Amino acid sequence: MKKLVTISLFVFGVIVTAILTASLIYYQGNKPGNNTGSSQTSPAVSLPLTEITKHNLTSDCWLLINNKVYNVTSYLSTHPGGAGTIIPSCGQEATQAFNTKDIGRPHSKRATAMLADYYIGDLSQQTMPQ
Amino acid sequence: MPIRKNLGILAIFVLILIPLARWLFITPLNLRFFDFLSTMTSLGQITGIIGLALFSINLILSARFKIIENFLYGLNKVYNFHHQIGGLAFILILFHPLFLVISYLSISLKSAADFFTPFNNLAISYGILSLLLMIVLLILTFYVNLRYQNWKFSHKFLVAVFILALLHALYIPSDISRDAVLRVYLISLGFIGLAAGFYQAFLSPWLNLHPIYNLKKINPLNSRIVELELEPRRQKINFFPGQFVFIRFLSGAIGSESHPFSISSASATNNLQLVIKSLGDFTAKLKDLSPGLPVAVEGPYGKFSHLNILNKNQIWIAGGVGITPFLSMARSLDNNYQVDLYYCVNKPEEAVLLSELQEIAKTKNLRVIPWYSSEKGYLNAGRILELSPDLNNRDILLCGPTAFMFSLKDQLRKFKIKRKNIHFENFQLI
Repeated sequence: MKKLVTISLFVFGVIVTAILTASLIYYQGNKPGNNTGSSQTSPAVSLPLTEITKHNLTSDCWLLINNKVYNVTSYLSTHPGGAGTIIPSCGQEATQAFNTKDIGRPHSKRATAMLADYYIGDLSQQTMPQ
Repeated sequence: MPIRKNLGILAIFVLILIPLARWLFITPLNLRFFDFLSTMTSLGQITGIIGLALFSINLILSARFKIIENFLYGLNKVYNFHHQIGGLAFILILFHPLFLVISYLSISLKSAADFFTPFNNLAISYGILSLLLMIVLLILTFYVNLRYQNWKFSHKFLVAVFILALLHALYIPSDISRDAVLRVYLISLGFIGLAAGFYQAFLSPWLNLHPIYNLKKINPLNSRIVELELEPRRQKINFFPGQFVFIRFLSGAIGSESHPFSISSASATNNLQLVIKSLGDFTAKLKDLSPGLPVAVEGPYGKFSHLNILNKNQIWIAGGVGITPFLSMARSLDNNYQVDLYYCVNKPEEAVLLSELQEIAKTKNLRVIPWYSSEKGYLNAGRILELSPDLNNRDILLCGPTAFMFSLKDQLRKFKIKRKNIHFENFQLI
């Protein structure tokens, strides 16, 4: 048992140190250009609600959050809370679900920032939600 | 091995399999193991759930409940389980964030680094703090040779680690927070564990539930071995010869942690005698105690006794101070038993209480064979067969240093002695 514990501690130490060190080096190297890559500012595509509701599958999942549309299909399987928490909202208005998670608290700032990576467009204003 | 002796392992398996089975049913499996990343995330969740369940079970095991001792067949087995399960839980909990971080790495290095940084998110911070404290405490357990009472004190903080781990599991958005069955199960198991751990670490010494004895006599048997005699104030404990107790001095400068020692007195006598060899600094201080001190006696524990073996034709083999349980057995022996007792020490002056054993041998079916390794070399199975030719018809009880017991056990196995006929309690608490 002691040997296994030693090996595990070693692997843990190496991986955590590697990630923290690499990110420190990378982060410092990229400091000036750090705030350039925000996809929130990219030109918006207008998407009608009828289009959004079509993407209600685990293999094709869009979410509508604060009138913005996100294609989170590739993220489903990596969601720390499990894919099952997102799947019921696929193709639907998910602002409430996103803001309250399942225990009434909002997602972290980090999660909100990560969401931006999946942004694909805005809800078209002509078609108001019924 | 008979099923009866493996029931404990089976019960632990079931306790772990329940949350795992529930977890498997919440979301379709093809989503759990959809691709590499989802598989890694799933492994992260499994290691977290099983790690938490094992941690809960380990706290329950640590509480020395009589019912669990009976279930697992001996407190030494409970502690062996505790040690193995603790190690396994620690490994799983170490791998839990490593599996989960892989998904973050696929997004960006920064999000992976954020994942390991506390204070970004409360639920993750609980987890990080819990893991850091656990690493420190278990490094102390596995790698640092602390004094017994210091180690024991440090080990109590694992209750705090567990509280943080439980908060982490409850607040992190996951299958545990989403699924009521999983949540209720893990909270229940966690709270039983927490109550047990809290009871053992803090409450049990305060409640004074154990009978109080007075230290009556300190009898040095040689420069390193001392026999303590304790007299019950009111209630006395009932024990089988061969069992052990935990004793805790209630006043004086000797420290208030409890320590395990084998009983050497006969089970019928009123006073309790313990033969103790000075190994750590607690045992070294025992010689300087003055009579009259109050001592709490917890127990008895253990299943190692000639009375627990059906075959009354037995061989007892003691290594050094491992003679203690056999002293109790010899002092309690009745004439239905036929026993050869090998008493192995290095030199004659180390064979404490030999004369008393030889005195008992005159009236009972007990043959005492002192074995001095400085004169005859180490005792081995071949020599035992020469002196006790009916070896194969006898049950063999071993007590002594771990290496001594394992070496003899292996040799006896080579002489076609069945495993079930060799009895010993490997008693190492750390």
